[in-house]
Amino acid sequence: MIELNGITKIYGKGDAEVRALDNVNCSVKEGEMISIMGPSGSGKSTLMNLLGCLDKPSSGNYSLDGMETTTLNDDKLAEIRNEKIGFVFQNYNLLPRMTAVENVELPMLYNNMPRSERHRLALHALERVGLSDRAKHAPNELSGGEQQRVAIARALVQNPSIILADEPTGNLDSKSGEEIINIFEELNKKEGHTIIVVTHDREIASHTNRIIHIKDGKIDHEEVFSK
Amino acid sequence: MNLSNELWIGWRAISANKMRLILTLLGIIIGIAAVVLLVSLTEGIGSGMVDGIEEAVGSNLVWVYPGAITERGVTTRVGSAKTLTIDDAEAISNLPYVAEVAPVSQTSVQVNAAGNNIYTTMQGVTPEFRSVRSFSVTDGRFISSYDLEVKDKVCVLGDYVAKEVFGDADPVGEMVRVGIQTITTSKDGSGSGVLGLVGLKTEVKSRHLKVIGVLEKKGGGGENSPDNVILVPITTMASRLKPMRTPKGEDRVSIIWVEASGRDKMDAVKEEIPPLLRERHYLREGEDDDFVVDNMAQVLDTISQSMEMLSVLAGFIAGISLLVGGIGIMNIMLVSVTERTREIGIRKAVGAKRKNILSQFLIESVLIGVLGGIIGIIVGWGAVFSLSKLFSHTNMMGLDVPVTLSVSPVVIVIAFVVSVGIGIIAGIYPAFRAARLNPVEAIRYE
Repeated sequence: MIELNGITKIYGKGDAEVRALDNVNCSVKEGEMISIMGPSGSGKSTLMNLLGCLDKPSSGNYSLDGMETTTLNDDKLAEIRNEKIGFVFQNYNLLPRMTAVENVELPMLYNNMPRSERHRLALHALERVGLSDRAKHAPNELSGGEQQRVAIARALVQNPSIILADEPTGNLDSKSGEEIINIFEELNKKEGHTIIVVTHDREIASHTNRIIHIKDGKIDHEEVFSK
Repeated sequence: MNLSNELWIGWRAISANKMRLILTLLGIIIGIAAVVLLVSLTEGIGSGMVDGIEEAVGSNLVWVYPGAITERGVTTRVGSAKTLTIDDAEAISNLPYVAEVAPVSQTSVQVNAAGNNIYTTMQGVTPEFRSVRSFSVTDGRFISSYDLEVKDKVCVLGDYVAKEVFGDADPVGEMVRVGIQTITTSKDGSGSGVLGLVGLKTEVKSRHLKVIGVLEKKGGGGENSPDNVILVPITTMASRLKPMRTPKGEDRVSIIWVEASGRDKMDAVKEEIPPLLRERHYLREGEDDDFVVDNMAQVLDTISQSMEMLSVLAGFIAGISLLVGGIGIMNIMLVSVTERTREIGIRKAVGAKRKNILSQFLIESVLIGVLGGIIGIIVGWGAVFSLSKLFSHTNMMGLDVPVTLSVSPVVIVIAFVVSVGIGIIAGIYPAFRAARLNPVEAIRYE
């Protein structure tokens, strides 16, 4: 499902050149739940942005669902993000002026879905993360864990090929963090979603099938858990 | 995403900060209200002046007055030719498209009665004068053809003269004494002063006239208004008061008012008078006209020209305030884009394309423009409405100008289009900046 081939990302030019990713090769299969670990500055965020089609590599190939993405223009990438990728961020990134259900509807604003259908799917997604009763609440009326669950609902509402979670428990207490990772596990096991979690928390990473360790822009080593 | 949905989202975004919205709107409101008010004012006063002039002078009027004469290479001033006669007026009245003709002989007189006196203009007129010049008589009657026939010593007073001389008393039936200055050739050299040196002397003749009527007030009052006049039968003027003759001894007139049979016939009437008068005055080819034919076209042209200049000036002033309002929108949109960098990043991350972000911010700025425009139109309309209650008339150039202020639909449409345009122009740059943001950087923006 995900194929990375010789992915290199260079920031800046000449002497100021920074090689954030250096010839990264890896693949993720459909239905896998993996984690990416590494110290800060190791390039894991850059990898995350490339996997999420928010950014393009300087060189190398990235094929997602059999489609080569590195040659696509910005609007095409936006379409891919809309259809195939769900993002969960460390700081939730909900729009503050909108209610929970409106936040979940957001991705569907950009693919011409009828209003009623949008609303139905959003409510269903909230139900899947156990927040049906909070649909009309604004983000600032929700706890951190609840906000992150809204963000997960937004990520999975269109059943994307992959859900990318960047430090999803970073801002949460351990109990809420546990809840969030349990939701991811459930989505993976029961609904077969492909999930990639970036974290530096071993405890969180241990819930996944495989850990990819990144160091200095390169894949250092992988750990595979057989569960 | 459908339009009503986008408008709703845009409205929620701009109304999130009420104070900021109101202040931004204010710039556009003031600009648009100024446009509506100034354009309506210049339009209202302009058409009011046209109406006022038509009412003061009469409708569909062409007039003929003596021209300049050139004798031995010296050209005198316009009005000095002494060749326009009552018979000319008669001849003009037989032309096609001519409804009525009113010849007038004119001189300056002193009017005395009831211990008051006033220096005014005496005009010898025919009964047609009243309808041609659209005068009406408030008190008594106008000069009749019988008065002309018997050269009766009667007069009709203009409203101003009646008020100045008789005050509130009814002048009809009273007598007035008019003092008429005449210049005659002095055979015995008894003249005095400058005139005496060239063999002329002045005389003041005094005549008594009976007031038979008073004219309705017409002008804006004052000495220059058409109400400062005393009318007498033209025959009485010619035989008893101030004989005015052409060199050939015919009865001379100062002006001939010609009413065309319709507005569209004015040009035709204006065209046909000169050949007739040239023939009657035995002017040879190459000789200049000794008369001038004129109509309101010139006057109205002058008015519309000055009104045009006024509207340009008004438009310029309104344009400046609109510019300031537009800058205000652009400023607030730039602030808004910066403040919402992360929102833009999030939207892009979940699949918003450039055009989605572009239209989102453009809709917001257009919404501000439209909202300001609508309120501005209402405010401008309100201002025009209350002004129209305050001023129904104004006095301009001695004329009573009726001011009918109203906001024309054209102005409203223009104001609306302009406010939408300002919204677009002011929003396009901030919207482009928003659309071009890099999602990776935008989403990290704190």
